[in-house]
Amino acid sequence: MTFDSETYLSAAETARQTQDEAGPAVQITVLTFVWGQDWYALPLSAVSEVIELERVTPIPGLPAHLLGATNHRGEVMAVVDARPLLALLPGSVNANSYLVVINVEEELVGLLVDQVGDIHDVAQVPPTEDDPHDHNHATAFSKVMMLDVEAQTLSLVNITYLVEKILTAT
Amino acid sequence: MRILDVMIAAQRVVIPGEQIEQVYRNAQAQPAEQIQSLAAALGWEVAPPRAAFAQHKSLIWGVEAVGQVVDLPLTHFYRLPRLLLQAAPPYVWALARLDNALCPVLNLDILRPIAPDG
Repeated sequence: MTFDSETYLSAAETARQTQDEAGPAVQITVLTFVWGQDWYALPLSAVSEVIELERVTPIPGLPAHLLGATNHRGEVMAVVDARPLLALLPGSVNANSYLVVINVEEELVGLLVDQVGDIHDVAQVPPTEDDPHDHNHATAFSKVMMLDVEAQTLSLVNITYLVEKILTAT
Repeated sequence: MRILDVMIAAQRVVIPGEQIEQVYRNAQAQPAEQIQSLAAALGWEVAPPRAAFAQHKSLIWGVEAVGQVVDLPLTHFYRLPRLLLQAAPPYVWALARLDNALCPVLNLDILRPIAPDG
């Protein structure tokens, strides 16, 4: 088989064209956390703070994603397990649970997570043909690549989608 | 505000004192067919009632344990956050802080008992 430089040059041209069409990769700063066995990320700009979860008061008659209320510096805050809203398996409160506090329409809400990671800079990874064509999943998450950890990708939670889900599911 | 705290499904719940007619430490002393499970009415895990209290409409609610009727300062009552208020049933109208823990406060006047056969 003879070397065909034209094949490579043509492929390179196509790759550059694809990159140009996709535009430059957007870099954002995220907070990483664990749900179940997997790492996820939220835009740091959406995170108010992270607190250890001491106690959740269950309230009768709430939908599954609303776990109850907790005392947050003398204020009562709703605790949400966002997983069922994002088509993931629901979690449960345990001794290692944390709350990632976000703002939902001027009200602080604690998102239950299993473990908190760190703050990282990430770049969005354009979807490939190999990605599953699950519309809901694609809307809820986007794939990002950590810029400070080699070859590590994460699912970035679409915060706008999540907030809307929290409001409409309640 | 005068309240009674009761224990059901390992959770403390607060009842306004003005809705309490009588407190029974021993539920077995009451006719079993007259006892309504408070846990069942709330949709929580049901355990055999070991204590009970009577509402002013003479309903007897079975619970796992009853605390004391105490005067709780109004500063210990909190509105439900908006997100929870939208989703919670109307008989949960507030949260009360008891011993640094939050407890749902019920309005028994609008809580429907569940018949033993479901």
